[in-house]
Amino acid sequence: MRQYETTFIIDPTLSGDEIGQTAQMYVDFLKKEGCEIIHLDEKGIMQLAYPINKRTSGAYFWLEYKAAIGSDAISQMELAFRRDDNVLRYLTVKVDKNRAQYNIDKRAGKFAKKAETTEETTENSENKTTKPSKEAKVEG
Amino acid sequence: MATREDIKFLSNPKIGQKRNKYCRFRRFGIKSIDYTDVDFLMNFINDQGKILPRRLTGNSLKYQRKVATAVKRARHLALLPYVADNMK
Repeated sequence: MRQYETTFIIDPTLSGDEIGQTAQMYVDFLKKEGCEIIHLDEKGIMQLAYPINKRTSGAYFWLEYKAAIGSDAISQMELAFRRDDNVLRYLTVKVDKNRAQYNIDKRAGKFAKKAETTEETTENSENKTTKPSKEAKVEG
Repeated sequence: MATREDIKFLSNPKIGQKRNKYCRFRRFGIKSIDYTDVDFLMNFINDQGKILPRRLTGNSLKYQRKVATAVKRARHLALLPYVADNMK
């Protein structure tokens, strides 16, 4: 078994139920193919940085799962994504051990955002390297 | 009359000093770069959305490659723009 994560964006013009159903459809598909679902994170409707298919926002889903090496479940899922007009974007990434640990820590809330982050970005526009907010990441 | 103490601060004493560059990933032990963490990736792009060179960020080559991949993934997912003006 190898660990993967898939982020996909669903058309926000669908109703709340339909968005959930569409996401659930893909989760069920993976389960049927014998994948082990670790986590499904619904990030909700977020603003897109640029318009995709004339949509300016999208419903983000982040799915973490384990699939057998050599199984074609993922390629089949991506094919379904491409055929599905309601899916604006998708990205599947192989998760290495550092990333897996990071995801576990993130879910445990170790990287809760501090108020400093806004200050930091302004400082960094002058190409300064700053310490404070990095320390929040060190724990992981 | 300006005394010697006043004159001392007329020019910024930090001007002309060399700032030590370092790789923040190595120094703070960050092993994984999250492509969904937009605020963090903002440190590595300029206000046009371009990836900053190692010359400016001080990243080691290994982590600069990972930063570049993370920024490109974020762009694909429309978390960061491909082209922008005045992002910051």
